[in-house]
Amino acid sequence: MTTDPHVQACADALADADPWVRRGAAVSLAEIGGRLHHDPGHGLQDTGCLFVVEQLAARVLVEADPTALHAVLKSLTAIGCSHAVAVLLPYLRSDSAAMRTAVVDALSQIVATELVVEDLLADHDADVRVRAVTLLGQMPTRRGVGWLATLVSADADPRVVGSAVGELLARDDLPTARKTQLCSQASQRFPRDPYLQFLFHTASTDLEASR
Amino acid sequence: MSQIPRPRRALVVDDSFAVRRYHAAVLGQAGLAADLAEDGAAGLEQALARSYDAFLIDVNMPRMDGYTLVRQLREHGITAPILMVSTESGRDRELALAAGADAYLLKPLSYEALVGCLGSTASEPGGQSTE
Repeated sequence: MTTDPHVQACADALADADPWVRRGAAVSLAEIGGRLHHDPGHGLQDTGCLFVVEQLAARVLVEADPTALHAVLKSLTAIGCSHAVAVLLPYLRSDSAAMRTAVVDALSQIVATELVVEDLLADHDADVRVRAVTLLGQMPTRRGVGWLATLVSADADPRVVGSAVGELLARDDLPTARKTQLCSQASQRFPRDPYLQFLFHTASTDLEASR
Repeated sequence: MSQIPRPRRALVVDDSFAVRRYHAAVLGQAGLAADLAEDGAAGLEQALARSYDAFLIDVNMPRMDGYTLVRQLREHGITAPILMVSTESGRDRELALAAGADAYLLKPLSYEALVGCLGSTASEPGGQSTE
């Protein structure tokens, strides 16, 4: 609960029958939550911000209208606190590809996501590790070469290794020789994987061409 | 000996440059030329602008996911074989088939799997309309 009647009214409007009202409520809550989160007088543990994030998170579970759902996810992204990240993370395991895509997109725009990416890359579920690689690739900071290289050298699932190699190859800030070395490592670990063999072959060709 | 009709041009839709390049190479081995699109929205645009004999579509993509793309292609009357190719484990297979795909394959795609699937789905090469 909140003692602020305006915040409560917005939270109530998230359940309105009209999806455009729900969309508007999500936008209003983003402004409120963002203000509470970014105001120096309030920290990440601020109960007002937490209330707003919880209201939006609860709506993600039940929102059937794509436009309203998009607005809710965008609002959580705009608030951008670590609690918003925490409520979005479970949706990475959704059976809905649209939801997974939307959540990866939202998480990639929140700075606080950096704090959880390493754990996601070590998740017990290989599908989640693949999604974490995608997430890392979409984050604007372009960090994580070390994490991806670790996946290439140690992850037991060739799909994860293939995703990591694909992401490393897309990096502009990595020398071609290093890319080729990582491709070589992956292809040696999984000699029967045609995709990894292909990547090593093309990386070697690209390296030769660059000399 | 009768020959199995084979598609001639395919559209590869995947957000990974490396995967698009790889799938184009595998299609090339099978004698198919490939056009490439980097997400579902771009794939739909290309599919409606040009006739294709087959589609290779990823599941998780920005802007429009693979299932939505497959549904939209079918809604537009496109009947060409659609193979969904994904890193996602088998639990997505039913969703792919329900969306209108002909087959669901786990990455990495092999030449043998591609030819096997197209051989069983491409009974009407070029069977596509963009009405």
